[in-house]
Amino acid sequence: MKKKQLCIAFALLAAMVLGVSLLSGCVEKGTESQEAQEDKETIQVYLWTANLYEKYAPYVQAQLPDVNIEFIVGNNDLDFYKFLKQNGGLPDIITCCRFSLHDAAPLKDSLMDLAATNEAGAIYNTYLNNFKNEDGSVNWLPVCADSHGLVVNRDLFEQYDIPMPTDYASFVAACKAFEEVGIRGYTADYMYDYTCMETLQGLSAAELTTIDGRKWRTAYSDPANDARVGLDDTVWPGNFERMEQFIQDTGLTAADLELNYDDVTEMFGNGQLAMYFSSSAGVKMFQDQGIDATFLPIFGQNGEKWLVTTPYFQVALNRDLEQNDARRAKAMQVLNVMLSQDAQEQILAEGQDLLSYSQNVDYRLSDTMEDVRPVVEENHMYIRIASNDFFAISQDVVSKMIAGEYDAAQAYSAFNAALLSEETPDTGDTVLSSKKAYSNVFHKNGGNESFSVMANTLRGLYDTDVLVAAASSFTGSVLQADYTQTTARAMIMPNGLLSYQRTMTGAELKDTLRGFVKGCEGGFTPFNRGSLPVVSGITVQVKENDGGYELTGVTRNGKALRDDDTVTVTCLATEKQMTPLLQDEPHAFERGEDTVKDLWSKALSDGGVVLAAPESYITLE
Amino acid sequence: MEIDKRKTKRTRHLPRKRLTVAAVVLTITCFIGLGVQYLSFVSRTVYEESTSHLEEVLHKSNSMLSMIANKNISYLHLWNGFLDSNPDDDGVQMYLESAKQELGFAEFYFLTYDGNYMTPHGETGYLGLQSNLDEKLADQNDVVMNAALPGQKPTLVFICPETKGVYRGFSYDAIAISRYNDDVMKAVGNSAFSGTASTYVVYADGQVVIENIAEGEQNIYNLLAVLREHSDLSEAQVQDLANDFAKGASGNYEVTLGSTRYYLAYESTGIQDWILVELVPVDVVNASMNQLWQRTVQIIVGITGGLSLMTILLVINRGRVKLRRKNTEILYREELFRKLSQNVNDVFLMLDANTYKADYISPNMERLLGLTQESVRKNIDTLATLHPKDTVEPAKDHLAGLAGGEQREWDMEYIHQQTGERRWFHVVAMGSEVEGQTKYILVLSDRTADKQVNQALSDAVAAAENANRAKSTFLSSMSHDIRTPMNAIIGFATLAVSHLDDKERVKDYLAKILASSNHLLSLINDILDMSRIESGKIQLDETEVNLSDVLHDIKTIVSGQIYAKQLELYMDAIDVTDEDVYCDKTRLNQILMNLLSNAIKFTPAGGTVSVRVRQLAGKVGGCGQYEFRVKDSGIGMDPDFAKKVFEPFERERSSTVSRIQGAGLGMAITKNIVDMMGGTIEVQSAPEKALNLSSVFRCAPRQNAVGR
Repeated sequence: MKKKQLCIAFALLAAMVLGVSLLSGCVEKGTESQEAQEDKETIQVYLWTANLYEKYAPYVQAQLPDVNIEFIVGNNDLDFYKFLKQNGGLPDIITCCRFSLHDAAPLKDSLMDLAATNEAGAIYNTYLNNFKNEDGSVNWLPVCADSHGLVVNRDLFEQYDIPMPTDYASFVAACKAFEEVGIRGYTADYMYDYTCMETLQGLSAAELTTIDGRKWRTAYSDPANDARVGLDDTVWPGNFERMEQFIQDTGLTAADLELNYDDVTEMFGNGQLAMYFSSSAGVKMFQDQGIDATFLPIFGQNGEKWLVTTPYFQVALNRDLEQNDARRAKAMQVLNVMLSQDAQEQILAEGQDLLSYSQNVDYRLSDTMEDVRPVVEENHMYIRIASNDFFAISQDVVSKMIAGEYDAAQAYSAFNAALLSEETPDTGDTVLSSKKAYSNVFHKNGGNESFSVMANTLRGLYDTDVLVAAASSFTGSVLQADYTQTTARAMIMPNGLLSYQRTMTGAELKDTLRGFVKGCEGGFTPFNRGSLPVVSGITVQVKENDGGYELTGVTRNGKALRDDDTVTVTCLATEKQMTPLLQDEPHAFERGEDTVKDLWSKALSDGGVVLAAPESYITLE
Repeated sequence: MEIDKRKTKRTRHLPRKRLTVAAVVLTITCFIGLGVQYLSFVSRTVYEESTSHLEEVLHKSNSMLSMIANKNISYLHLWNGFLDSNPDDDGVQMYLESAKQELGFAEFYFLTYDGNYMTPHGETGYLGLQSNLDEKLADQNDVVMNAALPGQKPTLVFICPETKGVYRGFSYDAIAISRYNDDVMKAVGNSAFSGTASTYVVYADGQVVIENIAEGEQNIYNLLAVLREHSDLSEAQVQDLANDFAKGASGNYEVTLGSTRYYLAYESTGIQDWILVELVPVDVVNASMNQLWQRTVQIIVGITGGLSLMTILLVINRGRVKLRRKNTEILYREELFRKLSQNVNDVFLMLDANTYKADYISPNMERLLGLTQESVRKNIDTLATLHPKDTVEPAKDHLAGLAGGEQREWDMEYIHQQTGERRWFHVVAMGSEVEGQTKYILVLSDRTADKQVNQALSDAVAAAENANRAKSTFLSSMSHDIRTPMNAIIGFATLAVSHLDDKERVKDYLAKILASSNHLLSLINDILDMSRIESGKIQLDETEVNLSDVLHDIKTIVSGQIYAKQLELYMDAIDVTDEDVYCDKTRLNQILMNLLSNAIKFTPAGGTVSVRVRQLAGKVGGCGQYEFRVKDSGIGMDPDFAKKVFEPFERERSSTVSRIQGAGLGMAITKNIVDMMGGTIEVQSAPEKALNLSSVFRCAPRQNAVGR
């Protein structure tokens, strides 16, 4: 009996010792493996705009509470991702707005083939075909569409008793009729490349969707095609002729090339302009101002009516996900939610119409789109070709056409020549070098390394004791690479990121930090760990509480920040994010003259910018 | 011997038990094995039957789909004929509208290779076809494609490129009719599974052409993708399925999607590279089979379970019976032991050799030693209190070093803790190994009775010896006291005979003979009285007596002796409220006479003798208490002798006393009579001092004697 008891006791003791040593082993490896585990479990989604960070990203995260998704505001073009790919930092899920298959070619081998997925199957063939590679693979999937056409002031038409246009002829007639009464019939913000490009393509949407047009488009977009592809001689010459005709019929001149968006909308709002080319969002805006605006399609000269659509973004998945089934499954879950109807509705502004490319999403047309419903139902929705070349060359050529420098034939030649000319690689000088790549995954103990590098570097530039930045301020692209001005600039987003500075007490700083951590109405509320603010010069302790976050401590130089300490603080945020935090402030923040991006660019141009080392800036409980 | 027998029995039981267990386990295992085999066979058969049934249904659906496709293509060819006849546009419109109404298709299209269309009504648009129409129609064969237009239900478009022409200025390369997918699938689908089946027509890459989903299911756009992501099929299986699709092969799988188990059956449609796939919940297909299956399983499980249960119950019951029997045996033994231990005069203790903790204490501990079981169980050292305080021997641990199998014995004297009496015990201590532990079993046998008997025997022997000695003493005393007067009688009688003539001398001799005879008679009377008293033959004869009369009579009797010795005799009564009493007058006189006689005998001439009667206060047992005090001024008594004055044949060994006649029985007799009367007698004296004899009698006053 005694022996038995001894044996049992010994066995228990041995088990305890083993358990303790295992646990302690786990604890020792704890930090390291925890970070590795966090890296493994996190799915990174790069968003092309900060707008998606406010509603869309929180919605997607909320649908997948068990998936750790890190949303980072990246950049809206493929060059950004090419840079990331070249330097080993391509994220799991990428989105971009300015897109063409042609421009996406360098990324093709790094992206997953989604052709056989259910998500790809859900997309209307008409649109999916624009994203299909020659070999039938599909790397990019379009999300819902933003439609562009004519925003029309019905009041003016009624006022001047001019019939609403129903085809190209009546459109032209309306323009002329308005000219006679001293009102501009039609113009647009031809200062921008996208307006030039969309007008050129929109006027010839019917031709561009013919067999020949689609053949050319496929050839032009084919990523496998190493040779540069110019314009064809079947469809494109006519496109420029139509453009030329349009310019003549609408009376566009060089003066229109100076108009920006605000100028045009001001004219429209003042009743000085009857029709302008824009997205359907403009209609709601003017209706809210009391103007009876409506939305009409582009009237083709062949009698057809078309809408030029722009996918809000295209989404692709990193091929590396296929190496890990669990990560792949998670990424597919995220993709599925990103393409769902409810998620797509989060992209839209209030009242905006939902034109989805997916069959599983009901399209929703508000009253503003009633006049184009037949066009939608006719399936006359043209997806623009949005390669970088087309943006740049369209702006150049169409501007010259509008300025009267080019006729149709010259425009065609110039365009073709520009397309065929070799790409000038970005041979910009190196303005920044990083010897090390930093993780852009949020870790519970420490935060996001690459964000910390940027925050610490900027704190130096702003010469401030403390820097607090919204998580959407950085693109996380701190890689072991040499940065040109362009790629270095792309380290900071969005374009509207501003700096706000003042001296404050420790107590005031804590209040400010609470606003950033907990979020505030009308501002930005962190919706997951990756969206917590980034700080430099201090360390914050944050507690996760029922999906929300609470600031529990602030330390500076290793000691708790005292309420009576005095520090200079710089906050980096967009105006919208910062406004609620400024409301109750007794002392005003000083807003920086330059945007953060511009300041950063200037500093880079001046040279001598050295990236600071990262610090552990946050502990999340 | 018995232990060995039991061990052997136990040993023999063990293998038998093991065999039984093994047999039971084997039986159950066999049952389970057979059951599993049977279940597996039935399962396989059910699967084969179900999938065969499913394939039949699928084939029917497939035929229906082909029929629909062929029918619609036929219509198109028919209309081609009409269109070739160059009718006018209005005629065409009318014709086609009437056909639409009659045949129920969704729309008629004049199509270009671009995918642009015009309807008979003149509506134009772009048909969102699956792929480029020009490629599909390159070989001028009829094609079927699916189309999805925004805001409209998906359709299946049947296209015939046979006829080209112009309609309302629209140059077309083919004509087509569309049918809503729902309508097509309704016709293709079957009611065999009450709407729980989902039917898909898919391309080889899994992309869905048309589908008819079951209620509550979500749309699928790529079946292979969904199976890959959400089913339990492995990548290899999905790939095999894709290969089958590509080859146009048929087959079936069991697959779990979500939480439902499905049969997936597929077959090539023969229309382009389409595959018809049916997904039906297993439960639905096997509904009736399932019932049978379930019943079978239930029965088998029931039988197996029942048998197992029976076996288990049997085993349990057997075990329980055995256990009960053993328990009963144990109970019997316990009861026996309990009764024995209660009623025997042996205290049993079992102590742990290491801790000296009491494992067992017999219940008679309290009776025999005055210690409770609890107190001893609590603290074994309580036993130390049993030792008499006046023990000379030092305390000894008799159990030290007692090993298993060893035995020790010793005797101990203990004090009963409740009564305080001394008891004698014989202690036997045995060492024993129980379950690997050494235990001390102590048996404390109460030998007090034996000791007492021995003591009594010793006392009796002593008494007997004393009596013998007393008898010898009596005989030696008596022989002298009897012989003396007898000798006197005989001597004087002889002298009288020899001096018959001497009348005076004879008279003297006769007087002496008379005196000696009286003395002898008195002696014999005393001896007989003593004997009668000791044998309990004397009874008190209580009668009404007047104490004054008694005293008066006594005085009268002793007056002669008083006068002869010129003594003073005083008699008085003090506090006597009840003179008339009930008592044995004769014995009272005897007592008083004895006392007085002695007083007179042992008081020299000229002394005084007094008799005082005093009635004491209070009553004892309803009787009054009277003190008779006889006092003399005689020679007194040695205190040592005073202690044994009431013992028979005791006469003080002194020169004075020895000169006075007496057998030494008078005081013994007096004491016995006083004892019989419930009284006490004592003597107070010292040598050369006065003797004070007082005795207290109980006599019931006359008034209390009513009713006696």
